[in-house]
Amino acid sequence: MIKISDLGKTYRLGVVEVPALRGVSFEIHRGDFIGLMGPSGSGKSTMLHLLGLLDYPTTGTIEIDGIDVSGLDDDERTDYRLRKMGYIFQDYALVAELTVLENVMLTAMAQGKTEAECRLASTNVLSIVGLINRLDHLPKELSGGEQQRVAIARSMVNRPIILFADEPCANLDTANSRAVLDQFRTINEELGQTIVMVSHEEWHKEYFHRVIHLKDGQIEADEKQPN
Amino acid sequence: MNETVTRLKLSFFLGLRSLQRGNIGSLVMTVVIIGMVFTNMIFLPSVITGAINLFVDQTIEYQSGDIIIEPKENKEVIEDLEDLLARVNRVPGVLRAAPHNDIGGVMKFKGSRLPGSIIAIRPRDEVLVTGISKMMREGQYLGEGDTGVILIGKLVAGNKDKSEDLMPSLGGVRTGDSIDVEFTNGVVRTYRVKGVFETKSYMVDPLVFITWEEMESVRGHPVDQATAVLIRTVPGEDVEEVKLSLIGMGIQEQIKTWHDLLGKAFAEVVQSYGVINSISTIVSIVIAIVVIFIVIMIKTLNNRRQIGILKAIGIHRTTITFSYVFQVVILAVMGIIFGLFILLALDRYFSVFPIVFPDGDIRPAFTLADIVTNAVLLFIASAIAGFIPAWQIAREDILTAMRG
Repeated sequence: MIKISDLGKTYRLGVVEVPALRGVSFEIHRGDFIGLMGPSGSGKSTMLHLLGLLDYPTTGTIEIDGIDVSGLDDDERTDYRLRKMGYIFQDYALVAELTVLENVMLTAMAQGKTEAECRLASTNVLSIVGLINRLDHLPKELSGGEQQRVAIARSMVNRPIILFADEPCANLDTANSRAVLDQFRTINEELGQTIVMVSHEEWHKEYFHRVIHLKDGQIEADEKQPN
Repeated sequence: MNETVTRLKLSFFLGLRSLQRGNIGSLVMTVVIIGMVFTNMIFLPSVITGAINLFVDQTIEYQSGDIIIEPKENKEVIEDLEDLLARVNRVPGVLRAAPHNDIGGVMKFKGSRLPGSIIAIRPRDEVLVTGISKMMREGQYLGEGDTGVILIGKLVAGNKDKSEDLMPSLGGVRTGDSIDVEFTNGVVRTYRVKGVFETKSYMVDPLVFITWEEMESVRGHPVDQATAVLIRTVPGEDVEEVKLSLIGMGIQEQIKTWHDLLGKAFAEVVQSYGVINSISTIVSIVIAIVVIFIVIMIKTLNNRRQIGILKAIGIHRTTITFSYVFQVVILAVMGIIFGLFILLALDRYFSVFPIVFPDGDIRPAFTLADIVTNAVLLFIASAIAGFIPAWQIAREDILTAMRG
């Protein structure tokens, strides 16, 4: 489904070249729940940014369903992200002035759906994440765990083919982290949602089907999880 | 097309929510600033327009009437006055014609000498044509057939302390005082001052009037000549059309509307005021652009990370840019409405307490054309000032923006 071939990224700091990712290749299959793990500076966030079309690779290609998306221009990438991808960020990244429902409806509205369609799709995903009673609340009125669940709902509303999560539990305590990961597990198992998640917490592994360990910009290990 | 509409709808939604649920203090401050800028854009031109209107009104009301008939070129007087008046007063649209007949003379009072023109009028006609009778500072206006009396302007009467006078005067003449007049034909008369008028027009307050009968007495024969005939048209009549009707009656003398009389010099003055207005408007717009630019720049910089995230989740940069443009446009509309309330209050205030100038009381003239033009200019300037910083931030690289 997603084929990553010889993916590389080198940052230039003045005259100094810093390789963040060095010719990485692997495949992601539909329904995978993959953990990208590794120490700081290993290239896991860079990998997520490249896979999520937030950055351009220096080398290599990313093929999604047979289409090389690494060569898309800025507008095409924006449109692709809107229709095919979902994102969850470390700090929830909700729009402060929008209610829970409006935050979730946002990307559906951007697709040109009618208000009724947006509302229906949004309430559906909000009921999945257990926030159907908080529709009119503003983000500041929610706990960190609840905000992250809103972010999950927002990432799900357009039925993306893949969902990217960048250390989504970094700002949460263990209980809330577990609640969020349980949510991921539910949407992965019940809806078949493909998820790629960056994490540095060893105990998160129990939720992943597969863990890709990165070190110095290369895959150190690609292991299936026993669960 | 559909995509554009979708993006604009989402922009409006984001912009509106940002205003509704954003910082209320910032919103109020921006609206007040735009309102003040708008007021500033309108106020100075309105004062200048008020000054121009005052000058025009003074000219029509006290000096020329709506139309003035002057002698043919190379002639000093209009002949066959009675025949002319009879014809003019029959022209549709003419309310009344009032003849003037000037004679030179030197006025004397307690050692002060003041040369000037003494104008003969027919008070019954004059009160229908000019407004000087309503501007009596002291005493009374001339009555039909008055002899032995004279009506003088405030600048002729002057002050006992001549340093208070703006131009040569008789040094403090009051109603009831007697002044001697030595006419250019050698006749010398003593007149009792019946009244002193004050129009605040530098062109009118140096004038001196006697009745037609008194002039005939001075000249020693009936006077069927005039140096000018002032015409008041019926309110609402088109002055230019009345002028054409007068020409159509076969009147050979020079017929000028008040506008013709003010002529090229007046047009140049109006043009100069127009330049001042334009400079004032440009300065106000630059202030508005800078203020709005800074407000939106601060807002976009504060929201830089959010802008990056919106782009990351697939919101097009045009949508993000226009969400700020819509905010500015809404702020501009609110500011303009606020400014209109200020202008309404100023209009009420200055209608009761006009700005006092030596040459008259100026009431700022708020014209619909000025208000609409400046509102449109401010609206466009605001949209541009909002667009630029939003566009700059929205086109930034996603990851750079997301780092905040």
